Amino acid sequence: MEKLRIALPKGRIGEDSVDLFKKIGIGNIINLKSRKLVFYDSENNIEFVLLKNADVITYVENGVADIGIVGKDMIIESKKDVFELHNLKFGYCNMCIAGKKDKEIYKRDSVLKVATKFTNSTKEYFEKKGQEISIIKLNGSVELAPVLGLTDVIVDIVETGSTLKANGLEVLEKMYPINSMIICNKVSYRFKYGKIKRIIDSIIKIEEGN
Amino acid sequence: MKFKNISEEMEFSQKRYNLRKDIENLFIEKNYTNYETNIIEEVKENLPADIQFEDEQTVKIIGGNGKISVLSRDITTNLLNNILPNWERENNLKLFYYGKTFKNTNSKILENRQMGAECIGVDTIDSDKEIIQLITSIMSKYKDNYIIEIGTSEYLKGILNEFYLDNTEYKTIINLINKKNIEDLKIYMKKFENSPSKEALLSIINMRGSLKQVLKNAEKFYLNEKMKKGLEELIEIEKYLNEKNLNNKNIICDLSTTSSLNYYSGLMIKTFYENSNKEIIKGGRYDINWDGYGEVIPAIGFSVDIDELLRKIYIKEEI
Repeated sequence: MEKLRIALPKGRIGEDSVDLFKKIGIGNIINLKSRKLVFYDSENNIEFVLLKNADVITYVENGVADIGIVGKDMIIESKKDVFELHNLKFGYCNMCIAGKKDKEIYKRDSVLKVATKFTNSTKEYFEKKGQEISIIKLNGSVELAPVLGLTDVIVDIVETGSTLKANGLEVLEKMYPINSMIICNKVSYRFKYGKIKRIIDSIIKIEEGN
Repeated sequence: MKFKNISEEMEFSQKRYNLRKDIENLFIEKNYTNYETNIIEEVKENLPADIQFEDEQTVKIIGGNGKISVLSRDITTNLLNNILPNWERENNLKLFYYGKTFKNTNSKILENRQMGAECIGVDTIDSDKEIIQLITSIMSKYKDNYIIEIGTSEYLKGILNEFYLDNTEYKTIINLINKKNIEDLKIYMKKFENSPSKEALLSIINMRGSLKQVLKNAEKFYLNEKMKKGLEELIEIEKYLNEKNLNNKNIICDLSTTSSLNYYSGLMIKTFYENSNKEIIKGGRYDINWDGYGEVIPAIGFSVDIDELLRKIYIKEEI
């Protein structure tokens, strides 16, 4: 039985993924409370590695991990060359444009200043809309940018909207919905197709309540 | 590739030469003639667009007179650029080449060594068989665990022809199939009426497995002439592989391959070694429908990524 390596993101999505894998009978060895980053399920010959969310797709694209779980936002932003095999039923949120209430998003006659971590997807989205923008890349606390006058709006992931509300901002436009996905390395797909497909089929059965 | 010292670099260089000679000998045994291609190409306006590269990844050079030339992106197109203007009906070419290609990326210009073989003007199915046999010989020479993935451009093209898609719809569908994203494809296709061709399109990502199994599955769906043509070519190849005892676990059929779909006109092949993150060989049938000639010129060929092949066998010291 060939060995499979699965990359999981730390945090909430990682926890949901481990719960799901345990339901289909793999990864029972994983203990997220420990400080270990690698867990080996010898019964199924699967190694699980815990990574920073943004690194999962890099490990999978480079073939270090065969499959991984990652938010659709990372797939769209990174443009990495991976297969997108299954939409999971968790990690739901939206990529949104947010700003101060009643803020005008589209200003044909001037450049809109946008703060975001997601520079590629922001650039593409506004290009399609025909709005010229100036992007300011921030690595955290993006919500502060319009509050302190650094930018007109922000582009960020919104789950409940409570962080926005707490900072006096609101969603001005939903760009696209996000959920977690199972991604796969293109060469692993060729060599380990059977094992990967069996895992995905088992997950689908659980999701459909069978 | 970076080296610790000169002797390591010389050793690597010698091994690359040995590898090139090994593959050249396979071509020469089958009566292929060596063809030297150019590094610098002119963009010729009278040749078919689908055999010329001209995009942001092409490395352009501006000459002293302001004329723009390009560095070779793909050796097959380079070769066709040279031979097509003088093409005559009785030509029957079996060529092999070794050369460099160049690609512009965001950060730098990438240089790649390519080696390959082309059959141009040669009877269709016989050249298919010969190309598959050559590919099998190269892949099996260096490692036991490899995959030769076979498909046809015509089955998917035939399905897509049934939908009268605009450019955005076509690109979206191709992108979803290319990503094997069957679930988002199902969502996107909801706007199209249910039909046998829609059913075939939604099944295409799962049309993967042994040739026998995939052909049996693909025949169940609606078939127009283009789809039939694609399957007939694969049926002949299956027969040939069975006859030669080559139809083993290393041969996989996948009908959802989308890369360079417009370029290919039949058989498509990609090969992989485990633990290599790139295709080792890629190629297929690209019959040339060129107004400058007036008839379709049959053509099939493949290229070997020599750098990637050497990286994989050099590490294991198998050469």
